[in-house]
Amino acid sequence: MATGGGDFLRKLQKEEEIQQRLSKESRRPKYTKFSQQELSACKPLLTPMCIVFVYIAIGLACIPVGIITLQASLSVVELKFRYDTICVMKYATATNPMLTDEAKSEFMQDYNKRKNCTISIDVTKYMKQPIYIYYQLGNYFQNHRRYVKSMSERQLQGLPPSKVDLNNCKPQDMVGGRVIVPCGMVAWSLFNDTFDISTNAFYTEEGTLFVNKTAISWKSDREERFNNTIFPSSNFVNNNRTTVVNASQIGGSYLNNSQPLSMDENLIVWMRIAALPTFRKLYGRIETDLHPGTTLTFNINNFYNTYGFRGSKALILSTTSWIGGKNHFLGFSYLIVGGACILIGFIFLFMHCKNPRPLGDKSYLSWVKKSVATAISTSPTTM
Amino acid sequence: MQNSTPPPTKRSRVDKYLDKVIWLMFALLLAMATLTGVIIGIRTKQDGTDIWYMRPTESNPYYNPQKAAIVGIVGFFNGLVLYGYLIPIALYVSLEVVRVAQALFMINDIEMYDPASDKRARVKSPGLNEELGQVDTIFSDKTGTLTSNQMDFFRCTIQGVSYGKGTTEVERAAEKLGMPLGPSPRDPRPDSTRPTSRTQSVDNAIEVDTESLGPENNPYKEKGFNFYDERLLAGKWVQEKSAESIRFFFEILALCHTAIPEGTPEEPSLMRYRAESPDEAALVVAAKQFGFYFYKRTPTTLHVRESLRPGDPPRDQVYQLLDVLEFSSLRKRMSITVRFPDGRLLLLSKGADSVILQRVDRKRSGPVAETTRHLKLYGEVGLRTLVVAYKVLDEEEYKSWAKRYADARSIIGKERESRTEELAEEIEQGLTVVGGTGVEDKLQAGVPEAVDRLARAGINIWVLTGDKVETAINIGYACSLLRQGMDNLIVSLEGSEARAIEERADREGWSRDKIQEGQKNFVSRKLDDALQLVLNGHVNPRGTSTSERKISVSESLQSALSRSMSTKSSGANLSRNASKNAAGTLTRNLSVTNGRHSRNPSEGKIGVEMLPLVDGQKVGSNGEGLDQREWAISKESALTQSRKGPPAEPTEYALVIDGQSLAYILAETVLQERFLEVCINCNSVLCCRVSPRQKAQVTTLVRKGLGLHRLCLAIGDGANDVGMIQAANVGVGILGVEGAQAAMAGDFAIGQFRFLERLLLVHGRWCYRRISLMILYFFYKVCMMGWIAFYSNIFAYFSGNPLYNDWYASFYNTVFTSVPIVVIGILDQDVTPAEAFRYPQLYQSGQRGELFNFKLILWWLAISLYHSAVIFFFPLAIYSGLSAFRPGGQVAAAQDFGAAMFTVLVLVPNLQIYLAFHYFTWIHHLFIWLSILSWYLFIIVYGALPTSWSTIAYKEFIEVLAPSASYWLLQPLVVMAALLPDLVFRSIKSVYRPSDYQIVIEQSKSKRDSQHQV
Repeated sequence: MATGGGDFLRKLQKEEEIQQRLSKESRRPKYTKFSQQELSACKPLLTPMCIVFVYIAIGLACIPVGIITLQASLSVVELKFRYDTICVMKYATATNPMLTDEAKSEFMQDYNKRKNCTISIDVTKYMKQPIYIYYQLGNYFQNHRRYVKSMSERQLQGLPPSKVDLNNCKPQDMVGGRVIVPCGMVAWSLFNDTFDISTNAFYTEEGTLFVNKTAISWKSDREERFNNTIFPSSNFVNNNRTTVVNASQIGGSYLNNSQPLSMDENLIVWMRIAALPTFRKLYGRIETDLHPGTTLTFNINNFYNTYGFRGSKALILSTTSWIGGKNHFLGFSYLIVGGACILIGFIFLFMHCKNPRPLGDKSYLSWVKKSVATAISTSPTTM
Repeated sequence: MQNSTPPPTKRSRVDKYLDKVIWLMFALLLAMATLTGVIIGIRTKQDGTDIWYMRPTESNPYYNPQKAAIVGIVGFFNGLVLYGYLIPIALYVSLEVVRVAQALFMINDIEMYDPASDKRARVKSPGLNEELGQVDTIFSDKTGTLTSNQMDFFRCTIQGVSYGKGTTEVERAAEKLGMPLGPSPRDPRPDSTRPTSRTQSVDNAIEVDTESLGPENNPYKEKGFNFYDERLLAGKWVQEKSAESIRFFFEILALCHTAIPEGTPEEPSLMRYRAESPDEAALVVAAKQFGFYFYKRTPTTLHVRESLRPGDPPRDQVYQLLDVLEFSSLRKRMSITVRFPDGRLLLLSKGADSVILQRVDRKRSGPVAETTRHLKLYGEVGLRTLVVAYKVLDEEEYKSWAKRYADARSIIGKERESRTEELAEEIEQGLTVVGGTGVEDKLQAGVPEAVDRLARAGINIWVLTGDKVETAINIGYACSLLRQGMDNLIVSLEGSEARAIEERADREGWSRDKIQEGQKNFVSRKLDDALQLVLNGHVNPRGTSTSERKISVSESLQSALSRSMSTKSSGANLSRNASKNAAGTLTRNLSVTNGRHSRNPSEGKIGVEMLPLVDGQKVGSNGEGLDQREWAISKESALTQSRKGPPAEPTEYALVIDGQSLAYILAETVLQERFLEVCINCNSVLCCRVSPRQKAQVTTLVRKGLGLHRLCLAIGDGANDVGMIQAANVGVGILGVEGAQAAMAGDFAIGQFRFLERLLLVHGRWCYRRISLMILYFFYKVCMMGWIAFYSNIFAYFSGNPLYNDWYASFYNTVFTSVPIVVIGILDQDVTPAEAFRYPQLYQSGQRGELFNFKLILWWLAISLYHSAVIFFFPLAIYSGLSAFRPGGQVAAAQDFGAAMFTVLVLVPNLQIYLAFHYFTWIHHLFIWLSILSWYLFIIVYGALPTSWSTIAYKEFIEVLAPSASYWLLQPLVVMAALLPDLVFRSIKSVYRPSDYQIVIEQSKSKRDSQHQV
């Protein structure tokens, strides 16, 4: 490896020499600031006063940002409840007390059982619309390599999936010789619980609260990444309770064949893989303000089987601020960093006033220190 | 040629160390990948068929509970690929680029351009650039490297009057270092013998005539002659009081030699003399300049053209050459017997003062005392001195001697030598001294300063020369390798004590083996003594005076080691004293060392004056006191034992050893070790009379013997240095006028020795710094990628799913973070060359490997761990997908998190540069900010490509990240949180434990500031 540069240099030097010999010019190198390494440069020095200044300046800048950001996230109202256990316990019987995950899972896998349940929650704080509804899954590894790869980007675009894609999509690639659209396990395992919300307040007729489920995905996704000419076909064969008898798992939704992929925002949201095994996905939004005292009643179709793998399901209602949802991290971090900087700044100021080091004090030079040390100890040293 | 071996492949220490670190990183990578494989295997096995959305019943290498082992193995390989960033492959390419650029800087350095030979520096092995910043030991050739191998007649003393003005290199060096060498011989005032009235007027007359003339502007200067004194030149000598003696002196110069003239007698200026040594030629040239032009030699005659006065017609004189008693290193003198045109029969002699003065006629000794004094002064200023003497022969006596001598010369066999030797000894007695000469072996320009600064930089300098011990010692003084106040330890088989062994062997008829045995024992004993002195000398408390300490050393040592023992005795008879003192060969050296004492009137008080150290301590916190202490110390290393009194440093030692002794040492491991130990404790080592092979052997011995901690550089100009150059860690060739073999063999080549100083103290130091910083930073930045891949794996079931696609990752090392560090590798500086020369000690940080070592690697790895944690977990807190990151309620997906995190992953290492480095030109700023900008550009452009290309990056920046406040608030937060601890650490360090570099910068900065104010 080291010879590469050497070869290059050797060639260069030889050429230069030959050229100069021919031209009979002096070989004195030309002067430029660059070639003589005399470019003007700044050499910032951490002098005590500049240190103090830097810390306090940073601190003073951070703290207001932290306060404003924290205020924003504190203004967010969030309601959250976990419904997976409650919803199956309702169906506990003497024969199946639903005590173990296996039992629950077994219950879920029975197509013939009803699995809906109703849950009520009270709004305690004023919630300004839009109020976003999320479902949250726990211990669900959407980011598993096996899972992530099991889809075809080309197919979503309306192009025939490549062989590699199809192979990754296995076993959800083909059925009856036809390619499944969209192929792969990501689409196949689409979350299929549904939520209907009613309320005691008379915001709307019949007491139902309208949940807007459009525009919950990114615009680029629904308009460009998912093509509006592609319609689902043969999706979810195994789990379609009308066609498959021996399905062993439950979960995954049957896609509407008459609706192009770009219209199925649920699928679009689902197919944007989550970073962590616990994640939320946008379900829809309520476009009405909710006042304290309102009771919301959720009618849940609890289809999705998270019991087998010790997962969890929850429902969240949340408002947002300019910074996003309820997340104090940014605010607190800014405050901590700012506070720390100011503190450190003052500590340095204090230390500098108490015990200053004159700039350029030669007694700090290592060889001076060393010789002083040897002089004091008169210990043997080399040299 | 004769020593040619295939050029060895050399790799720098940093490179070798880097290899080890890479292996370590590789082990770490393996461990991490194994952990990954094991965990994913176990988890897959445990979870089994529970995770239905993975379709566990279908066979798949990534998730298959039935074949968990396979999942584990796949996971392992996945991990290898994912964490593979830990191995900085791009580093090697970058290093290569940087080293070539560094080499180009060296080549194009005007300061290292030699106008005399019109040659630039050359770099053959850019891979060794940084070695130049870590050199511990320099092995230097002498002739042609330290000296320009040109002898110039410089001064002479005739009948007790010293002639010759001008300043020798040594004097100039001493003056520059603020240490005038006492009463200078060029100043004629102390010469009380000088007749005042007449010469004064002559002087004045000349001054009027030749105002512009002087030692610096010498019209008579030619090769071999650099003498200026208006009293002698241009025939003015005839007006001197002792004109007859002067004439005789010149005649001896013109006759007593073995040089052969080459050229036509009619053109004296073109005449060249082929002589055994250049100094002999210099003497003949001098005679020519004084009007005694030697132009022809036959076996029996010597032809000299005399032109005494400028106007007079030249006169050809023929001298009958009778016998030549040749020069040998043992005899240290040469003589001829000659019959002058006027019929006088004379023996003319010239030789080392030690030998000639022993053979002086008691009654008609000539101006011995004056001559000795002058020659001592000449020696001190670095001149090679010879005494010129004669003897009037008695016709009868000579006849009988000549017959015996002719007989002896016709003997065939071993006896011939000793017989002629005896006869020479017989006739070379009862001499009368006429005067002495001082020839300057001209040092290359700037050598003493360069050597001195290199020594102050903590570099031990060894001179390996074919010259004899005396010459080497002289040059040692001339180029401040040997310094006043240094103790010279001499191990030589040419000393009289060693010769005693030979004599005894001769007498008792020892076998060859036995002689060798004896000599080996002698060398071994010498080494032992030297070692004891060196070690004890160091531990010796400073209260006792030097002489006391030395007296306590064993007797043999006392006689063998040339030291300033006999200081207290008067200076005049020193040389005699010394020669009695057994170290006969070393008289001159002795006289030089002693010169210090005799010159320093306060010498007697040495014991008292040893105390300024204590003073320095007392002043302690007081700033002025500290300054003084520093001054004293730097001065000390600057070779002064100035009048202020000797400083506190332990005595410095120099080892002088000859080739014969070396041969014994090199043959035996025990001796090698002892030798090395002595050498380590010596500041300078002079190896004399060494063969080219020995040069290489010694170099190898030291390089191997002292191990990785010491780095040897060899510098030489001739074919005989090739072995040494190849054997050393770094070889530097002098681009000499003749022969390019050394330059070809060297890794670097420079036009002059003094460029070595710049090559090491400036370029070497910078290169070491640059390469070190670069490697450390590279590790830091690539490791962050590795750690982050591992963190993300923790949350992804260890399945090895990357958060961002491959393009991000490959651009990280090639575009987003690669250029600024290369710029630093090429341009970084700490102090300016001027500051580097002012504080050569800064160089020691390279020798100690302070910029690249395991501790620093660990430190940077720790920084990378912390930074990567901040870079990963801070964005994760916002882009976890557990809360909306935008007012639109959207939660982040993996790609959103990946892109946001990658933004800070580009920002932090680029901005870390501002914290970790201290030198920024516009080029730095440009590339740092361009690198940062390139990330945003990349994510915009890449995100705009069709989804089948951009996949998960599609419109990521434009649509998802850029419009959100959290994204922009996150970036400064992460940068601050990441850099803060490092900043605090560096602040504390810069305030309370400042580096040498910082102090020096602060000083020049405050100096500049105060200048501004004025």
